[in-house]
Amino acid sequence: MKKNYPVRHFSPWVHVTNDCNLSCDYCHVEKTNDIMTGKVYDSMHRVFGELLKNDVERIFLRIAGGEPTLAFDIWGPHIHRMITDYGSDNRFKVSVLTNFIDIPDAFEGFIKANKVGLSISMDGYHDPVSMKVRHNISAFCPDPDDVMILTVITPDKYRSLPDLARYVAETGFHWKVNADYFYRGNPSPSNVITTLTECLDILEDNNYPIEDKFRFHNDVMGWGNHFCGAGINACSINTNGDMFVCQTLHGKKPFSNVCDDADHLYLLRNQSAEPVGHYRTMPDECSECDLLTLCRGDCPLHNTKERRKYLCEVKKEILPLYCMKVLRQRRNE
Amino acid sequence: MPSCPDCGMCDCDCKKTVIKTVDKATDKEFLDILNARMETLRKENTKLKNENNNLKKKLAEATKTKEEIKDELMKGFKKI
Repeated sequence: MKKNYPVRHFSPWVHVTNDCNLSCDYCHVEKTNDIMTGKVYDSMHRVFGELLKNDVERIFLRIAGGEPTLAFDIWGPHIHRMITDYGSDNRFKVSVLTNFIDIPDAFEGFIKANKVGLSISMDGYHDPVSMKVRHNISAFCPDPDDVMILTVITPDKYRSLPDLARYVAETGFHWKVNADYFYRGNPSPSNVITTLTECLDILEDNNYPIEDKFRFHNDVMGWGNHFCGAGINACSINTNGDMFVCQTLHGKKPFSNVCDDADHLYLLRNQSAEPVGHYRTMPDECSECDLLTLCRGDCPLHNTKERRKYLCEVKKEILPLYCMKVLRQRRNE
Repeated sequence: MPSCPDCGMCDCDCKKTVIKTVDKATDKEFLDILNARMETLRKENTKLKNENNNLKKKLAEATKTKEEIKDELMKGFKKI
């Protein structure tokens, strides 16, 4: 059965390189020397132009890796050309997911001239990597509204999250905190709950706009009108042009390749190999949960029973706390 | 890479979803969530109390049986 509902936004991850200068143990990308080639950029340029001409109102690229800054000299000119050709009426936007450790010379000019957003990974506060990142941010002086700090709760750094909360409140950056995406069970749920409770208290005490700028975990606390867009309008393009419904599925069978002459959007929305998009499934216990409107059942691809047990314990404490804080902030406005 | 930046730009038009969709939750909707959670916690609390009472009863019964066994043994010893 054909399912080609209109698409307003198309938001692919573009993995410009699989090389990285860090080795975070939670990373889902296998570190290799693969770098996106000119042929793939040219194909993306053509495909995005056709989409904007036909079905799609806006395209939002997420430049990812590996570490994208390592290949900036290659992707920078290509993406700049796309922004020049398609970005005049705000229909083509770009953000870069980076660890912000090594910043190429021309990077700052590129980001600021093209109004490119920055999603900067920072998992702690006092460790050398986080200190280096903060140093680079302060030298860069980005617009706070264009920056999102991305934090994954890790066993070795989670204790410094309250200090990171103070930093975020002071700078006014957006802050997204992810619990472990692929289940590890460490730190324990009770430790995560205690830490996040302290972070939320700090944000509230510092009048940080929690509702607008803070998010916990995927598709949680952000009041959009959506589940995860994977399989609908989000997908991932690997360095060789292979397209996947989700960036966590690299290495599996792609649903298309951006260099092929195909209706990629149609293929994305009609794939049934993965339980996402129109083929999304949800565990029974989620559909009966009090917090479903905030949690939305979490990721359909990695929502294993083991992981759910861990995450639900955290969410059932943190999400009501979030509600209370947002209500209090609204009433104090 | 963290799994997803959840930048809020993904915008699903899927009509099959079971959850009501909102642009921004109202105060009432937040309160509904809190009330539902409170109600669940109350039910869990009642269930745990009942389980606790049942366990106490079982413990009392088990203790009694143990005493009875002890008495019987003692009687047996006396006979010997």
